[in-house]
Amino acid sequence: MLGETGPLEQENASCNPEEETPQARYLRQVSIWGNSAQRLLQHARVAIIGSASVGAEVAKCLLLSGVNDILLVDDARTTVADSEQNFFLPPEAVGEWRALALAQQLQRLNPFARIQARVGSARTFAAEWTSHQRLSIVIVTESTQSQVQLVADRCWEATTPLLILRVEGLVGYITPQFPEQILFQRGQHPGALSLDCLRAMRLIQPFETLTAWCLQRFWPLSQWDEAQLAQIPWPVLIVLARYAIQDESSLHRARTWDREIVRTQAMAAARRAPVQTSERNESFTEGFVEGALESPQRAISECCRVHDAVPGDERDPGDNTDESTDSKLQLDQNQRAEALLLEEIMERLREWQTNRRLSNWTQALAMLRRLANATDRMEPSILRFPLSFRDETMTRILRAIRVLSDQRGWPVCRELDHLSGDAVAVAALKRLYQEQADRDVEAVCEFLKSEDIDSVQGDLIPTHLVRRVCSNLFFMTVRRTRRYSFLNGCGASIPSNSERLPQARRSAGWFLALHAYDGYQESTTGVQGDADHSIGLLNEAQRLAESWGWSSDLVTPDHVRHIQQTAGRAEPAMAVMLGALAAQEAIKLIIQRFEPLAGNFGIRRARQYGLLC
Amino acid sequence: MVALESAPPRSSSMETRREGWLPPKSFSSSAMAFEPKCDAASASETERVARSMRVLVAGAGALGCEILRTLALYGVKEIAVIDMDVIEESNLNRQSLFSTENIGQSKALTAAAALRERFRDCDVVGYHAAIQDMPLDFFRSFQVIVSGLDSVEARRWLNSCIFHIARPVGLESARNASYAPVLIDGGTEGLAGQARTIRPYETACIECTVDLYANEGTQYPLCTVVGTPREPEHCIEYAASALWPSQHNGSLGPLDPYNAEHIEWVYGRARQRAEQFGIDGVTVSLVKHVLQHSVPAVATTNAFIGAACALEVVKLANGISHPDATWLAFNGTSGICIQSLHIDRRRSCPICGPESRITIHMSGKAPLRELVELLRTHPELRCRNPSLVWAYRPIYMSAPRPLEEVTRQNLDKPLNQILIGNQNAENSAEFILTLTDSGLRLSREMHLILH
Ligand SMILES: [Zn+2]
Repeated sequence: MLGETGPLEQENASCNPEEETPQARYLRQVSIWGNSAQRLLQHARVAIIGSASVGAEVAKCLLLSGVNDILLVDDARTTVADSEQNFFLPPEAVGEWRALALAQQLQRLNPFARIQARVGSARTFAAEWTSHQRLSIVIVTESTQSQVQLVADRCWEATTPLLILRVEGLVGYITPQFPEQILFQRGQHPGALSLDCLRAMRLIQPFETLTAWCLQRFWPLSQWDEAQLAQIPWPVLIVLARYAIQDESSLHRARTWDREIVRTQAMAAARRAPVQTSERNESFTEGFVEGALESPQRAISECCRVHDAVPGDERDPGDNTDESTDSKLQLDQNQRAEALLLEEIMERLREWQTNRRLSNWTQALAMLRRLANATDRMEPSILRFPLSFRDETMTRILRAIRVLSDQRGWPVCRELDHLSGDAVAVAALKRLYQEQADRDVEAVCEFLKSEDIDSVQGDLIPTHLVRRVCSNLFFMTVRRTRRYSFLNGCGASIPSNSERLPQARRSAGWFLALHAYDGYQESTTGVQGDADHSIGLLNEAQRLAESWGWSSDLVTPDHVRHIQQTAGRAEPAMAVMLGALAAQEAIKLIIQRFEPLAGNFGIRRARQYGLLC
Repeated sequence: MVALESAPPRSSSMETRREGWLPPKSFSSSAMAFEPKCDAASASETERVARSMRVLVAGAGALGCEILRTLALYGVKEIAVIDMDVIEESNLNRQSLFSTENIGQSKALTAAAALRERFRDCDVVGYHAAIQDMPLDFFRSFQVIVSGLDSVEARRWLNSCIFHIARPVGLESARNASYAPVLIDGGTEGLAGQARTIRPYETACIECTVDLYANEGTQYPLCTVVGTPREPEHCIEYAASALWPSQHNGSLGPLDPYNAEHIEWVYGRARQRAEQFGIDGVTVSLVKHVLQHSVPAVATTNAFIGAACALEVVKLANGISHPDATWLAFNGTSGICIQSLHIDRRRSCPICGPESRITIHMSGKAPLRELVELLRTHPELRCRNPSLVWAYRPIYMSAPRPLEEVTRQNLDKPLNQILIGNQNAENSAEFILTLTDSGLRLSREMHLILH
C-alpha cells in the first residue's frame, strides 16, 4: 500500500536544481525555515490514521505547508454527524468511506500532492507497513488503546516519529514518541552569534588557506593606519594573533610541541571511542530520558554523565578500563592546553590594541573570552551523544568526520554571519570558508568511499547529506522521548519540578479521565450522563492512576463528569487547534528544525495549559 | 503590565480596585464559569445562542479563513466577511478556503462563496472593501467583530471604531448601554501568535498596548544591507531603501510596493547587486515579499489562532469567557507554549483611558505647522491625519481636500495669531481644541497651553 521509494532516492530527488529557487506559494514560510527544510517537507511521507475532523485538520495543515505525500487510513463510512463536524466531509459524502472522501476533498488544497486512502484500521496499517517503506512520521488521531500501542511499537522499532492525539469535547492531548531525532538547529537563533557558530569558524585551529590569506592580505599590521585597522574583520585579528604566537618559535617551541603531543594522544583516544552505534546503547537511552523530558539542557548534561560513566570495556571491547581513564585525562589536558592558547591569543591582541579602541578588536576579544569561558569541550556536541542509529548512513558520516578531524580539524561552517568591516575582505573571507567547506565535504565523501564496509556502499551516501551534516556539525543535537507504553502511563510522568506542578497536575487529571473514558468505552457501551457509569469511570481513572504509579487524587469527580458531558459533543475549534498543533510538531520533526515537543501536551479549552512530562 | 499567570484570580485584577471604572457588562458578566461543571450544563440552549449571533470577520486572510470555517462548524448562521485584498499565490500556503484557480479573485467574496457552498444554510455575506470605507452603522449591526487583520494601523482603526459605537454619548451611557460590541483580535507571526478579547472599558484595548506591536519598519539592519549583504533580501532592501531615493530624486514619488513598475525597477537593481556579491535567489515574488514587509506565516499557527478566536466567540455567546485572562499568547518554536495573560488597561490610553485628556505646552510664536508635526510624532497619539477645531472653527483640516486647501494657509501662522485667547493671562493662555484624526477615527479634547 505504501510506495517503495527509499530515503536515498527521495534525497536524490531533492537535489533537482529547479527547486533551488523559492516557490511563490511557500515564500512566506521559507523565510522561517529556509529552502532546504521546505524541500524536506515536500519530500516527506506522512501517514494519518483516522479521518474524523482532527485527522482532517492535521492533513489540511500539512498539505498547505507543502507535504506532497499523505496516506489516510480509516475504516469508517461518513455519517451525517461527520458532515456536520468535519469541514472536509460535505453532506454529499455521507455513506462513502471517510478516507476516500477526505482524500478527494483535500486534493484541492495542494494540487501537487499524492493523497492515498486505505480503508482499514490502525491494525491494518501496522500489518501492512514494512520497514523498507520509509515514512517520515505517523500520526494517530483515533483508534483503540491496543491498536495505538501496536502502531507505537512498530514506529519505535522503525525509528519513525509518532504523534498520538486525541480530542474529546473540550479536552485533548498530544503524545509524541521518537526514539531518536537529530535536530539541525541552525537558523533557530537568527541574529545571535552563538558559541557553536564561533567554534564552527575554527579560528583557533585555522585551516591553511585561511592563515595564508590573512597573512598575505593583512600582515604585518604595522602597514595600516587607524582607519584601515578598524576595517579588518575581527576573525582575521584572531588568526593573525594565533600566527604571531606560533611564529615566536624558538621561545615557545617546547610548549607547542608538548601541546601537539597531547593533541595526538587525545585524537588517538577519540579514535578508539568512535561514535557509539548499535543496540547496546539502548540501556542508557532509558536512563537519560527522565532528564530529556524535564529540560533539554539537563538532558544533555545527563546524557554526557551517563555516557562518561559507562565503563571502558563496555564502550569498546578492545580497551581496558585503565586506558579509558587515561584518554579522559588526556582530553582534560587537551582542554587545558586550549585554554592556555586562548589566553595567549587574547594577551597578544591586547598588546596590539594599546591606545586604540577599535570595535573589531573589542569584538575579537569578546569572542575569545566566550570561547575561554565555555565549560564544555571544543568538539561538536553531536559526537558526544550516545547514538543508536538504525540509520547507518548518518552514523558513518559522523564517524568519518571524527576520524578525519585528526588530520584536518573539524569541518567548517559554510555560512558566516555578522561579519562587518571592509566589504571586499568580508566577501573574500566568505569565499575562503565556502571553499574549505567544499574541501571538507569532499574529504569526508572520499573517506566514506574508501571504507570497506558491506552494509551501505560508501559511494551511495549522498553528498548533499554529507554537506548538510558537515556544515551543521556544531549545531546538531539529538532529542528523544520515552517509549510509549499504555501500561506505563503512556510515557508520561508528573514532573517533580515545583514551578510547573499545578498545571501538570491539572492536565494529568484530564489525561487520566480521558484515558479512563476510552478504556471504559471499549468495554461498556453508552457511558453518557449515567450516574452509575460516572462512578465506574472514576474508579477506572483511579485504577489507571495507581497502575501508572500516579497519585489517585489527580482525577476528581469533576473531571469525570466533564468528560461524560462533553464526550461526543462536537467542538470544532478544539479539533482545528489540536490538529494545527500536531501538524506543527510533525513539521518540526520532518524539517529537523526548532525544538520539538518531547513530553505529553494536555490542552483544555485553550485557556489552561499544562505539560505532563 | 503583563501578568504571567495562566488564569489570574478575579480579585487580583487592578480593574476592580479602581474607583469609577466600569463594572463588567457584556456577554460575560455572569462569566465566572471557568469551572468544568458549567460547561455542558445547557448545551442545547447555549448552542442556540451561538447560532443567533451576528458576527463580522474583518480580514479574509489565513486567520479569516480559519475563523470563518470554525464559526460555520459551530452553526453560526449570520456572518459577514470584509477584505479588500485579492488572492495571491503566496497566500495558498495557509489560506484554506482558496485554491490555485482563485488567484486574482477577491478574498472576501471567494471565502463567502466557499463557505456557502459547504454550508447551505449559512448566511455569509462577503464585502470586497476596506474596513475604513464602511459606515459606522455597518459595524453597529454586529455583536462580535473578529479581526484577522494584517496591519497595526487597521487594528487601531477598528479598535477606535468599536469604541465609537460603544460610546454614543459618553462614558455614563456606555455603562448603561445594553449594546456593547466585543472585538476579538487575532494575530500571528511565524510560529508565534496571539488572540485577545477586547470588551470596551473592561479590558485593555489595542491602543492601551500599542507599544507591544512591532514597528512596521525595515526588517534588516542597515549596516548589513549596505555593507555585507548575505541574503537576496538584503540586496532588495538595498535597492529599495538606498538606490530608489537617490536615483529618482522624488520624480517618481515614494516607492509603492504594489506598483508593478516600481517592483520591476527594484528587481533589476537588486539582481545587479546580488550578482556583485555572488548571491542567488532574487526573484520578483521575493521583491514583492520584501517590499510589502510580509510577515512570515504558516498554516499551523494561523489555524490555531483562528480557531482560538472562533472559540472565544462561542465562549462569549455562552457566557463562559474568562473575565480576566483575555489574552492568549502562543509560541510554537520551542515545544508548545500557550499562556493566558491578564493585561491592565492603560490609564492614559487615548481611546479608553480615564486620563486621556492631552495637554500640550508650546510657544505662542511657534507656527501651527509645528503643532501638527508634534501630533504626528507624539508617542501617545501617533496621529496620521490630524485635524484641529477650536470654538467650532476649523484651524487645520487634513481632510477633505477643499477644507485642507482653505486651512493650509494657517500652517505658517504663529499659534498666538490664530488662537486669540484670554488677554488677561500674563504669561500663558489655555485653549481647548478638538483633535480628530480621519486616519485613526480619533476624537479627543486637547488642552493647548501657549507661553
Ligand atoms: Zn485603551
